This record gives sequence, C-alpha cells and structure tokens, in this order.
Amino acid sequence: MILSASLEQTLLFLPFSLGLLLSYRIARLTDLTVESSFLMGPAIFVNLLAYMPTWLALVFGAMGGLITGGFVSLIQNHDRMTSLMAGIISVFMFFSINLLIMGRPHIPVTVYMPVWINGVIVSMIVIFLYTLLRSQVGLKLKAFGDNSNLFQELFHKKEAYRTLALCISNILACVSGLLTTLHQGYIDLYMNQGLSLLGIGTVLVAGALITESIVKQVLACAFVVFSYFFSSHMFLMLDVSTIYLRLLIGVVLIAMLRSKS
Amino acid sequence: MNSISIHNLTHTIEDRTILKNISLSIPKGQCVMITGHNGSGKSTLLKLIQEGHPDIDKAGKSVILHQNINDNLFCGLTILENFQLFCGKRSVNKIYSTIQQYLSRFKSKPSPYTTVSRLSGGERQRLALYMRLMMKSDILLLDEFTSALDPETTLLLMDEVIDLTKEQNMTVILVTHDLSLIKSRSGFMRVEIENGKLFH
Ligand SMILES: Nc1ncnc2c1ncn2[C@@H]1O[C@H](COP(=O)(O)OP(=O)(O)O)[C@@H](O)[C@H]1O
Ligand SMILES: [Mg+2]
Repeated sequence: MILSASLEQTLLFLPFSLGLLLSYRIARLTDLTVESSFLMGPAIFVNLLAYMPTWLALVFGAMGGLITGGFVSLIQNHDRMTSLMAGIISVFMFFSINLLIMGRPHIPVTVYMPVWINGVIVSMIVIFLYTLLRSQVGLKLKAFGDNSNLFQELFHKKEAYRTLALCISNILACVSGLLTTLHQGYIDLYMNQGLSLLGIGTVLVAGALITESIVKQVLACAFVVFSYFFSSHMFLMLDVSTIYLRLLIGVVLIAMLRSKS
Repeated sequence: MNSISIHNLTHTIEDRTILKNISLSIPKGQCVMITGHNGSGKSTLLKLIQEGHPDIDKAGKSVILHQNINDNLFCGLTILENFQLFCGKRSVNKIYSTIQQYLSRFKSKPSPYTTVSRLSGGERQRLALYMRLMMKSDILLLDEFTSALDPETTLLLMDEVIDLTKEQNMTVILVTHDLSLIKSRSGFMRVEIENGKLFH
C-alpha cells in the first residue's frame, strides 16, 4: 500500500527532479523557474482541452517549458545576470502570468490517466536522458557546466547550450505538473510552492550518494525521490504528526550525509 | 604574407587605457616573444588577438593557452573527454593512439579516464598545450605557459612547441618572464610592452 503510493508519487515527481539534474548538476545553472513551469504546463493544458484531443493538449502543455525556459535563458544571455537572479525574477513574473492563464486560482480537472501511462512516459524520459548524456551533446552540456568561458572560446555556442539545458529542464517540469494535475484532479495556484528546493535537494542528495558517472545519477535521483516519498509515508504511518515530518526527514538526511564523508 | 597585423591598436577598460597605439606585423611561421612587467598589458593583447578586434588582422585560426591554468581545460571532465571536445568531430578511435602517446610522456602515466582535476598544475598545463597542438591552428598564443613547469619540462616543451610549429608553419606568440627561455632561443622576434606601449 505504502509502496505503491510512494512509487506512484515517484513517477509524478521524477521528471521534475531529472530536469534539475540536467540544469543544476550538469549545466550548473541554478534555475528556479521549473517551479513556474510545474504550474504553467497544466494551466495551458486545461485551457486547450476544450479545443483538441487530450493528448495534443498535453503536448502543448509540456511545450510550455519552451516559454519559461526560453525566457529565463534570454534574460541572462551574455552573462548580464546570474542564473539565480534570472530564476528569482522569472518565478516572480510567472506567478502573475500563470494566474492570468488559469483565470482563477483553483480549477478541477477530470481527465483520467491510467498509472501505466505515467510509467511509460517516465521510462521514455529516463531513456531520453540516458541517451542524451551519453551523446556528443551531453558531453558538451557537461563541458558548458564545467567551464562556460572555455566552452564559449571553443564552440561559440554558450547561449544555445544554456537555452537547450533550460528548455529541457522546464519541459520536464511541465510534464511533472501535468501528471500531478491529472493524478490529483485539480490545478491549484499554490501547488508548486517550494518544489524547486525539494527538486534541487533530491539532486544534491543523489550526487552525494553517487559521485561517479553522471549517468548513474539518473538512477540515484529515482532512488532519492522514492526514498523521500516512502519515508514520508512511513513517518505518517508511525503517527508522526505532519508538523514534524520535514523536520524529521531533515535530521535523517543530515545524519546520513555527514556519516558518509 | 603577414599572419597577424596590428594597426594602431588602443584598448581602454573603464576609462583606463590598457594598450596604447600598438602596431605590429608578424610574418607567417614567425615566433614572437613578448616580455614586460606585471600589469603592462601582455595578457590583454593576447586576448584581443584571440577574440578578434577591428584593428587586428588575423590570417587563419588561432588558439590560446591562458595564464591561469584552470582556464585552459575542463577540469571536472576526464582527459579523454577533454581530447574529444578539443579535437571536435574526429572520432575517439582515431585519436586514441595519439592520446596514449602524449600521456606516455608524463612521469605519472595517467590513464585517459583520469579526471583532469587530479593532475598537478604543471601536468594540466602540459596536457592543455598538447590539446592546442592537436587542434592544428595557424596561430598559437601562449601566455606565461611555463610558469607552473619545472625547468626540465619547460625546455622539453619549448623544444616540442618549436619543432611542431616549424613543421606546421605555425605563428607563435609567447609571453614569458622566463630568462632561460629568453636567453636560449635564437630566431625569435623580441618585443617588450611597458605601460601599454610596445617597444621593438
Ligand atoms: N577585466 C579587466 N577589468 C579591469 N581592468 C583590467 C581587466 N583586465 C586587465 N585589466 C588591467 O589591465 C592591465 C593589464 O593587465 P594584463 O594584460 O593582465 O597584464 P599582464 O598580462 O601584462 O600582466 C592591468 O593593470 C589590469 O589591472
Ligand atoms: Mg598576464
């Protein structure tokens, strides 16, 4: 019971976490905009649902990541501001834009999606990332993250690779938002609060657990996201009040990370 | 034919004139040695040649080895990954034996799968130089590249640079403070930069 619930939640959140693996860990961009994308995807989706088949509305919803990712990349081009600054400003702005697209802060959504489709979508994302990271483009993304000045000197494509990383991570965030919306049956203006921190947290913990190949970190991310949801359920089952939940998880994490190094 | 021609180049950063009225013509295949005190503008001149400037005519492609060692390689990546990035479309199989041959010259005999940050400063610089040499460019810009090298390796690499660049008729600009280099080499064109001005 707990196991299946945790697995289901892992499927919903993993695309988000993997997007951050790409932008935060590999391209070394601190992108908070993923939080806005998590909401923008579903917001676009519900607006289009009446005019087209569900799958097409889902595709357009996911493509919302091109808007958020493209925008946050554009405002930081030529290093006019840091990725952190650009992220903070765009999260701020996209709050209004998301509300504008939604029209009201809470919208029920009644589209049924069987869990196995979630599984297929997430598997496809994992395979895509795995292939990407092993390709020449993946190597260049790593190089961009490692030393963006040298990358620019060699390839003259710094802006393109930043945009690529941010668009992929934001599309994945949209996918997470869409899956979550279908699962819970509504969109809420506040359903994305704090997610970028949680996502970066999972990527960091995964990186601390497995320092070797970046490819293995894809699997480590899945493991960490699952552990997070599983331990949340466990604590709840043990009758730990929700008030103490995150406090406890934090303590466990500190103990675990410190004992490792 | 000139490989690099600089016409009356003046460069200012935030109202400060770093380079003043610099003019210099360098024939193809020539080795130029630039000396001068710290802060006189040597690195700035090399960067401008590398990045391009309206007052600088450059025939062909140039590559630069920066003064700061860690600017020259992707230190978080492996040696092999670095070669892959620097050698572009050439497949790994084709360059693998060349890489092995380069690495065998190192005393510590690193494997191609070693992360660059595990190498010493001097080893990194030597590796970075080899990668520039593999890129087969027309102009090689070296900014105090021997500062982290022991005297023996310095002379060794200098010989390798001179042999290879002669072979490929490459133009070399070398910024250095190393007196042994300045004294021991003939056939170099020597210029000095002082306070942003160039002296022949
Ligand atoms: N990015 C920069 N911003 C401001 N001043 C700079 C910058 N780069 C170099 N300078 C100034 O230009 C002068 C020449 O620097 P540089 O070319 O590095 O000297 P050198 O290589 O001869 O030691 C120095 O006085 C330095 O302070
Ligand atoms: Mg200098």
